[in-house]
Amino acid sequence: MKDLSQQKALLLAFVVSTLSLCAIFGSTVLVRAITSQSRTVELRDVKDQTVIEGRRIFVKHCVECHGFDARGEQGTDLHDLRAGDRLIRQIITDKALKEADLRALVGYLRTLRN
Amino acid sequence: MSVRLPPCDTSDDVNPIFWIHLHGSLTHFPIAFVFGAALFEALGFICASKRREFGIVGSWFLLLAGLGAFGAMFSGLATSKWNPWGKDLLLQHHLFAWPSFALIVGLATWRLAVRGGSSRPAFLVYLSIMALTCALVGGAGFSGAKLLLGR
Repeated sequence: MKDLSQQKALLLAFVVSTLSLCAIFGSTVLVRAITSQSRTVELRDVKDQTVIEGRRIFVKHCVECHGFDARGEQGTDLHDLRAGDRLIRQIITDKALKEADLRALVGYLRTLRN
Repeated sequence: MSVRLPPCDTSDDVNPIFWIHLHGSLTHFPIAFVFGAALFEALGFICASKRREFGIVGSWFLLLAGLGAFGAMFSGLATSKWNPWGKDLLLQHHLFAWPSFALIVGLATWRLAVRGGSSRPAFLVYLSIMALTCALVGGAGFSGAKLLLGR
């Protein structure tokens, strides 16, 4: 490739940079549009008893680090978690929890909104 | 009473930990290459006798940083579930990452286009922008590490 003048090179750099940003933003919008339907389907209702049980487990096992309001002290803020249920279950370190307890706890965490 | 839950990903086909690990590993390539490019380009600017040699290494590093930036951005967006902004620490990370990406790609394009044919003042501006890019990349890395490792 023949050396371009500095002005042309600057213009080329601007165009390539802008196109790259547009390409990545475009792909983001596209993927979000494709997956938005499945996310809507994943909205679920949980009976209040499950949430109450989840709160009880949270107070017993989690408040020491995450605080009573789950806003995080040593641990992280647990509001508006973006991680999936599977990842949250992997992160919960208390292995003594039973399957029903884990389900209730995750159900309670899902109710925490900003 | 029932509680309406926020959207959540319950699919088992994609493990988010995979994306976190992939992003964590891929981001180090553009970080290392852009800092390396800045170092060699600065050395080339200072040492007139070795300008060409340092320039070749610097421009190759910058080209690799530009290519690596695409992988880092795509894996990062997959990690954040294709959310380009977010909030709090994620927003802070993105505010560093997006300009860094644009600048790395722009600098690499400019460097490849002019090759050795840039004037000294233009090269000085190029080096200044590269220093700014390094600062932004450092900020993106720092906020990204805080995201993964906690506050």
